Amino acid sequence: MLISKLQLQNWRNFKHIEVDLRDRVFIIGSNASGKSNLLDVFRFLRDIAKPGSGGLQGAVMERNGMTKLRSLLARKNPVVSIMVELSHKVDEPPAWRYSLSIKSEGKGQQRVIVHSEKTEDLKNSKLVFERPNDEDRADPERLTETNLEQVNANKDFREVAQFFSSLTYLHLVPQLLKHGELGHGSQLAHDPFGQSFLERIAKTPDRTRNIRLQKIEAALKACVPNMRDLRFERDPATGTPHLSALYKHWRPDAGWQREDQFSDGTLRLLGIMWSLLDGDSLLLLEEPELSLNEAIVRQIPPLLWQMRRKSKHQRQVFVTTHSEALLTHPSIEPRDVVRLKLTPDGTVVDPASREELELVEAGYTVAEVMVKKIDPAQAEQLSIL
Amino acid sequence: MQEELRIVLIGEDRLCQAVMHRLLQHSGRNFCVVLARIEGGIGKIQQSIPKYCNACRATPHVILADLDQEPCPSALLAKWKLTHMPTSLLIRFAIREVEAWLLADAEGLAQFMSIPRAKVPQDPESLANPKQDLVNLARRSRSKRFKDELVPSTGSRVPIGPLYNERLSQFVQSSWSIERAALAAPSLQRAIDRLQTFLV
Repeated sequence: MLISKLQLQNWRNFKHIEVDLRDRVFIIGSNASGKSNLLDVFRFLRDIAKPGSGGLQGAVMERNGMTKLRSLLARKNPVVSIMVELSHKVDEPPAWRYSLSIKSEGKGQQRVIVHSEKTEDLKNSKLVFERPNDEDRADPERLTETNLEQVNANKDFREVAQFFSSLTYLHLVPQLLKHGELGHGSQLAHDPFGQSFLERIAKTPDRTRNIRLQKIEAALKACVPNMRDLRFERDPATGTPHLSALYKHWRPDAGWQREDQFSDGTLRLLGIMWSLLDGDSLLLLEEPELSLNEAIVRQIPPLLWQMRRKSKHQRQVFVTTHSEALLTHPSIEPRDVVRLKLTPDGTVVDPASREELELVEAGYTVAEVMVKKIDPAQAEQLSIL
Repeated sequence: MQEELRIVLIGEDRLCQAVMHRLLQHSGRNFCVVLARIEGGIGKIQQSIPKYCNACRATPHVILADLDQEPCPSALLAKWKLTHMPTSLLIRFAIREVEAWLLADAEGLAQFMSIPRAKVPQDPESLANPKQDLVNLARRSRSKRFKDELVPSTGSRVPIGPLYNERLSQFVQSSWSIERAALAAPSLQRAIDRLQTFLV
């Protein structure tokens, strides 16, 4: 399944946006334009849907309350709305539509409450439910929870709830992985920074793990040519999980290295590729180009494509990026790109213009046409202080 | 108001881009740059010629590059196998480098760089390496900060200092007199004339 449309109202720095999404999406825009806030919508839905993470109340609390969540531009209408459509395959008509609007209680503890919630089965043109209903009106306390987070209430759209709850966000920070003591005791829910990456690998059944590591090693060859025999092992004394690989060396048995000796770039690539093979839902990648050589960054789109093909479930992938090199691959088309633009009225989606589309058709890459340089006058100010 | 002419603007480097922006404004025609690209070297421009020829049918292209040591523009275009120029593609060359067009406004440049006007070379298009001459002029600047910004440090393998492009682009935007420069640089005058007749 994949998310084919997203509509937001008053979500952080978006006052109102509507955007169509495909199986791979590159989100671009200047600094502070809201790329991460856009990804956070999906993490928010996951936090609501995932069993044990506190549902709607927990998801809002983790984001420090409604005031941090709703757009500063929203004065009159303090309702935050999210609508997503899901399709089974790319370019197919949507099968589901889930909408959720939330607001502050306006009294007492100022909890967040459901303003409205609705699920539509678009395939069978059927309304699964719509809230608030009579029961909600009889017992307003019910509005502190969504149907999405309740096993009893979401049984008719379990597929959607499961899709949300199993999506992954990855912004692997190699330093945290290498120096376990740094993040000790301060790991965030759902491990966005890949601190427990090794434990995740450790929990995978042996056979699956070995097959995946083989696939990853084959794909990594192009980027880290002198590395081979990537394998998983446990420290014989402490039982701590480790990855190790043999680096080509003139002494045949001397080049064994563990993950704390891998380069930052190698670790990031490993994390990305493992995640592609691991899950079946949406994967959110934050700036995968960090600490990678530009020549390798250029290879990320084909690498993503190949890993997806090799995986059991082809995950939808959203990538935020600042890298022009990442977008130079000639197979990337304007439909794959979501460009964000800051305006005084919040961030908007800036679709490719007719001229930009024509230039791409004439042979320019998406990187050349759609990655707008920051305003030259501004850049000048930056460099001549 | 004249009809808007939407174009793609290609510059060999940052300075070419800044100069062309000024020339477009100066032309008095209603140019609107939909895409501005800095290609970073004449080689990249040569590589992209087929792309420009194709894309200019959708959106007209204006290109500015340095002629460098080539004898003449038409010989260079022939070398690029561009014998038949599409009408919506305009390629102009600065002789020998775009820095010559800056040196051509001797008065403005002398003031901007804090140097005596007499030190600025008379006939800039006859200089073999105007970039080098411009950097050498900066060495004589009375402003230490200016010198530090434009002149490479001793032993450097690159010809320019850390803020060369930024500072000179600022000159182009704020105080470069196109009228004065055109008198001393015929290739600039030709570029100005050609912008008047482009796609008319």
